[in-house]
Amino acid sequence: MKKYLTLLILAITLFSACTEVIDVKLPNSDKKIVIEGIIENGKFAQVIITRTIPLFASVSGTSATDFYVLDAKVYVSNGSITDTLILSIDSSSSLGVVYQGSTIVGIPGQNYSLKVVAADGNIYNATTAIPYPVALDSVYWKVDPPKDTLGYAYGFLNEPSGLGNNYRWYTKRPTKDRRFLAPFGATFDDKLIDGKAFEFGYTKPYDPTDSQNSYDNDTDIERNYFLKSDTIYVRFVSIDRPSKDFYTTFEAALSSNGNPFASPTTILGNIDNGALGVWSGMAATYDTIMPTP
Amino acid sequence: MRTLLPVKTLLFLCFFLICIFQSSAQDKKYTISGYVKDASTGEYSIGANVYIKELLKGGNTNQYGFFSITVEKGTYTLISSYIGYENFVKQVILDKDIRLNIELKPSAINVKEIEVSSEKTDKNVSSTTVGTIKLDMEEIKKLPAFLGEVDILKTIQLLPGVKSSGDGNAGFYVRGGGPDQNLILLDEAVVYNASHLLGFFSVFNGDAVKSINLVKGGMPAQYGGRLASVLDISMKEGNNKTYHASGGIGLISSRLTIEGPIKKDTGSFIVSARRTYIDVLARPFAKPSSPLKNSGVYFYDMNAKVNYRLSDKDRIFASGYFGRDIMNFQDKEAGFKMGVAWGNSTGVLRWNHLFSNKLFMNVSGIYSDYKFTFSAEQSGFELKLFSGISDWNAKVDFGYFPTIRHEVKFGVNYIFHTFTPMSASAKQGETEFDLGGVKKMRAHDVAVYLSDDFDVTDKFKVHVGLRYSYFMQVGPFDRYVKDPMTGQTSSVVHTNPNKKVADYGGLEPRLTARYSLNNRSSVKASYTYNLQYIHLASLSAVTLPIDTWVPSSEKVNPQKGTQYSLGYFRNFKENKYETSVEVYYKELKNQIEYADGSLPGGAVNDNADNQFVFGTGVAYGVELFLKKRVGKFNGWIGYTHSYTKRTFPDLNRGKEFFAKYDRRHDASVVLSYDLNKKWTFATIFVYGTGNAITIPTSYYVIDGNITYDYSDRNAYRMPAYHRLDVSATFTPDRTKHLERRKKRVIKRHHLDENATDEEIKVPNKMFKNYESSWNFSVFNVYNRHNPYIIYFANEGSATQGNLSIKAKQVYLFPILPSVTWNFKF
Repeated sequence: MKKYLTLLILAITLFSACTEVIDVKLPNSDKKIVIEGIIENGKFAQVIITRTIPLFASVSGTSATDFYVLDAKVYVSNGSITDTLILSIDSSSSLGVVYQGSTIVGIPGQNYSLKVVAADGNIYNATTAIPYPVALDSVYWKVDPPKDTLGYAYGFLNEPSGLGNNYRWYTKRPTKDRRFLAPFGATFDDKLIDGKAFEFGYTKPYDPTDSQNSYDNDTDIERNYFLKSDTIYVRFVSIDRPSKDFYTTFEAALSSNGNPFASPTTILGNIDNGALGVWSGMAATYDTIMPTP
Repeated sequence: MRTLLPVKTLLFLCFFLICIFQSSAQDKKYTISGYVKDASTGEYSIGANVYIKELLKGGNTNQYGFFSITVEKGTYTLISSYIGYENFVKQVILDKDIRLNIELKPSAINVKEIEVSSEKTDKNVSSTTVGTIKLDMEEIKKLPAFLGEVDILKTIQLLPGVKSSGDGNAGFYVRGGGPDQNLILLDEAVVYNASHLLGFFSVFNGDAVKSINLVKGGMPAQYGGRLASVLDISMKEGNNKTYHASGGIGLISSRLTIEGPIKKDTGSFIVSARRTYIDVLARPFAKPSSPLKNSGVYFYDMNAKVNYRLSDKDRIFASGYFGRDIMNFQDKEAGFKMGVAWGNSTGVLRWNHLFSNKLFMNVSGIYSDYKFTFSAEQSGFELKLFSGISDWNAKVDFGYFPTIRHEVKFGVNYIFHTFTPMSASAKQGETEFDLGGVKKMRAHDVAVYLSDDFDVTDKFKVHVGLRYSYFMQVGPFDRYVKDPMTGQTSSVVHTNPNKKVADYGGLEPRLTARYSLNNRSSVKASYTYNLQYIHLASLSAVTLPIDTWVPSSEKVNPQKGTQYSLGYFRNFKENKYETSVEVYYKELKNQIEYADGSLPGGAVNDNADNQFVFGTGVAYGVELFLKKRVGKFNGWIGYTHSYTKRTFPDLNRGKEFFAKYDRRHDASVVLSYDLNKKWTFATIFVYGTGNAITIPTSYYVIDGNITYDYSDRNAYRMPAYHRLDVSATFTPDRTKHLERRKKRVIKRHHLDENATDEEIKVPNKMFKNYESSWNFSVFNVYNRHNPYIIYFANEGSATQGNLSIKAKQVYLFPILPSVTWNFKF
């Protein structure tokens, strides 16, 4: 009888496949430059420039200069004047080190070009546009029944008619988050919702660069949830089509990382000459969700 | 407006008719024709040899068991042979047309005892078929079976030129062609998804199948619509003499088949069903809180067929298949519910008619359908996805046998396709999202063909075929026109019902030739050109039931395939050993893939084909085959050395890349040994170069997140796939058992030693003979961890200095023993 039971269990394990760590000899690859630049309405341009790191390289063996590109020349132009960006420290940016603009302020409806001249002489160009901002009607927190103090952040949008609007949603809890963060699936367009008035909700995002506020550190009960007592800042941005393509494919790529069934998602960047990343104009509007009584 | 059949096609039909009349001009010749069937069951024999000994010429029975031979007046010895049966030999005096229905006797009650199977033994060398393999169910049933489930698709993957896609994938690849380039037919109905449980099993129930014919090169003109291969599966007709039940009880599934006469020797039926019960078995073991408690994965399927002989000239058949895979998942805690169901259904009505003893006709009406549905619900958000394809198909096929030198086939085929690309509906509370509803696509698919198997000289034989196919996508249809600059939909063009959206057509010439060097060896060559109007594109790394079929459209041109092959065939030791060497070269045009950065759901409120990019392919290779067909010890060894490449201007920066299933080495060894009446042993060994896949080579950081940068397309090779399976089949000797049982009864009841069954007044049932067997299999004997998927996972954070990225492989099957009990009474 015991033998039959063993056989039975064997059969049951059939559909719970086995996973193991293996050694993989990687195909050759070159180091690539990674540019993440944003120009927002009413703000100066900020550009983060880094390099790719071999997949299995140990972090301790990778020096800061292997990763950060600190010696590039970065220019932003609005067609008439050029802003030369300067390397600075900004603790509210994702990596802390940015090339910061100081003369051109983003204006909705205008185009901006980016030019990065690397120390090796390679030049990388991109252009973007800041669309006109679309404000949310209202923002609020809603409980996720049957929970009573846990819930999600919601926005209500009267989507303007006419196809071609693209959006991204960020939140920040003033006392708890270092910066504005985008949750999973934060980017969407109006293909399915053109001209509609509708409500949408998002989970609490996590900062992968913050060990105090990471997905792994969060207590189970609060994972993905905002608390009823949280103050939540909402940053809702309108972006152009290439930026939307970048962010949606980037989000899809993140969700397929570690997903055995997903095939690799190619991230669609808008910078030429083989650079990875994006140069994105953003038209932002800001709202606050006050603690729900 | 254009008519459905262009003028060209009509001209073509005229050409056909002229051909027929010309070849009807006969001189003093007589015809012997009829059907070949199994004497014990009345099942018609497909592909049985019927030949005239004196001329060493003849043919094979067609799909319905019919043969016709026309020769000059004379006295001949007619021989009919079929694997597993005794030869039928008869002297015939041919001075008039003769109708002869042949009943072949199984060569022994126990199939395993066949010492010498007596099919016309030089068929390997003498036929014009190149790259065609016929498999017998009995042969397949002896082999080790994965968890005791006999699987046709797994067995054909052991043949050279046919590659498996690995554990957990039922898709197969023939000579560098994609899984959508195989035409899989079950009683003439197209089966669009031949796998159960994501590919662990195939949809074909071994108990309901009579024969399997695989064409991987030199595709005859009666087949079309696919580039790579035809897998033609015929269902059993059912015993028309007596009632029988058979079945099997296995670890994860059971099956039952009932068959019998409707009217003895005239009509019969067969019904076959099976279901897996792993979900039912697993449930009691699940904790009440576990999601497993309300979840399950299972499949079931049913085959049914009836046939009835109306007269000596007319026979009708009705057959059908219905199968569903069901997957339910419910996590009450998280308020999450999900259900997935998919499956095929087919229905076929056929009428065979003999116009004369030289002209055979079959008319078929076929319905074929594949459906996929997915539904999910969480916190008031409901999502439904569905896709599928369904066909209405009408066919008329003729077989014409003017002289012994010719076998002419011609016919017409019409299909009306309805495609349902992945469609969705969703709502959040009260808000319904506009997901565009169901965007069905419809198309007419027409083909006419003519072919002739022609003995030019005694040594030189050719198969010449020509097929004309025409495909027209029709409305209602909405084309989402894209602005080339922004990629946004700029306008929507509507086509009204039955109006043309796009059409394509073309001639498909097919040619194979055989030249006999002597009676032991021959050289064969073939050229085929095929058009394929329907396409399957997959976004995932593995074949999944969500992959949807799309028609050729304004955007998607038909796939075109040209194949050249050359082979040398030689038999040794009086045809005991068959060997062959075949080389092939294949060019593919208009292949499709998803564009870089395509996302699932991209076809919502859009056309699926707006996401596709197009390219070409090339495949070439050499196949070696050695088979010992007879004796206690038999089996085969196959080896393929091949290359499969693709070039897409919009993928991999335009550089050529290897297809995922490019396989440098592919080998299989299949051996079986009949020790005695009771025991048969079999073993399978397979080896295949790993799949070519794309993997990350470095990482970078965007918005603080670790992001992967990938290698060139398919630049990495997964580890090689290899595996050894063994099985033993034990067939208890029922006669001895019954003897012993009888003796016990005699003793107990103090009866006379020589008492007959009637004198022993115990229920006769006790002595009634039934056959049973035990199949013990061990899958993956040396527990090889064959990778199913390789993926990468990162832990920690780059900015915290504790990031580590590891490669992980998922393997599906460790060593797996199983036991199945099969019965028949």
